[in-house]
Amino acid sequence: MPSGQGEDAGDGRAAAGRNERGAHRGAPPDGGRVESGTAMDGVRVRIAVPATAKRGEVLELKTLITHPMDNGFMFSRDGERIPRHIIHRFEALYNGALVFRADWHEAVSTNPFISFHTVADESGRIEFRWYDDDGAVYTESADIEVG
Amino acid sequence: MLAGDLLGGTAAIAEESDRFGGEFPVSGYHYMGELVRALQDDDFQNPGLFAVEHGAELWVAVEGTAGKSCASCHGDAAHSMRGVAARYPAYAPKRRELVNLELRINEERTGRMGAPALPMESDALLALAAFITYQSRGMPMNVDVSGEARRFFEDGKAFYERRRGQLDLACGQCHDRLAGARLRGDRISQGHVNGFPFYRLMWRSMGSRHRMFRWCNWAVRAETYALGSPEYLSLELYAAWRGRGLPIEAPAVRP
Repeated sequence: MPSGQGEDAGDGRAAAGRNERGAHRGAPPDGGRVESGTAMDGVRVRIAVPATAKRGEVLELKTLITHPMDNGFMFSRDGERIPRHIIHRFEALYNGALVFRADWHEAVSTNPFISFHTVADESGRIEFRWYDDDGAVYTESADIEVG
Repeated sequence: MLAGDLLGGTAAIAEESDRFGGEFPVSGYHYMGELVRALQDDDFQNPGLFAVEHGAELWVAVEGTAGKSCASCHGDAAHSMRGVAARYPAYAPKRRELVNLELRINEERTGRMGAPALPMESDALLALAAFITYQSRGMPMNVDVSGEARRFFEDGKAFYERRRGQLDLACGQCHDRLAGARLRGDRISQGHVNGFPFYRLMWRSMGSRHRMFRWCNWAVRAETYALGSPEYLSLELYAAWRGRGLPIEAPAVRP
């Protein structure tokens, strides 16, 4: 089928609320999303930091954030380009000191997940920061007890 | 999906069922690649769990003129909603028609809370439905198709068996007879509904059973029906019956 899945795969979210019905022959592939507001309504973050660790232990830290990560190359079904809108930088701070940083680009997928390692030095707080293209900075932190 | 990804593992279960022409139901889970299954299995990574979290917040949020939240009447959902989603859609005697979980939520909102109905397929409605369905995770789908529900069941069955669209395909031609076969890069599942509301990677969002029906109808270039329409409610009842006994997986992850 011509562009069967492609049209829908294009962007279910971008299709939200537009051309709900009948603007094209064969519409609506997305099944008819109606309301979604802006993508940035209610960004949600999930982190996994061990509550306790031994000094010198290598920790695995995991984070997940909800974000569309629009790469700027997609078009809505109205034919309008969906502008780039991504989280372009991620940081982890251990008691204020930067222990991990990643620059993210257009190819990073929706709802970015990242896991990485650091060494448990001292008790304190591990903070994560996500820098959005729109200027927003999302933060989340967790305390760790190192014995 | 990677080539060979589906060989071995739980795909064997699906193959076993396919040999019997889908005689006993197998969840779409077993037709997926290892990577998608892993995403669903890990509650940390499963994006559908965000909707469940959102739904948990909405459950206790006071809305409407009656000054109530869902929890004001229903209390702890882990207890009060356990098994509820497994019984929907169901015949509603007062309305003399079928209601599914989403319509039921809206009925409660407008009727008891004095709150506006949530738009079909909105993030909030999907979140509440996901949260409620999540309370039945692992429980078998068990809809009632007797009595008044019978005629809706028959309608749904007829819908399922009827050829439609430019491609002239009935649901069963793929989901009964070709489950396990390839449709381009995809593997055709038996088309069960035990994972809904689910997170569809293609859509990058949650979706309801009806949205999926619409997508399927569109994909065979057939007329689509409205979310919450009588056609889809009947089909939903039939689909739930067809997969009776399958454990609720919501929120499932599908490609």
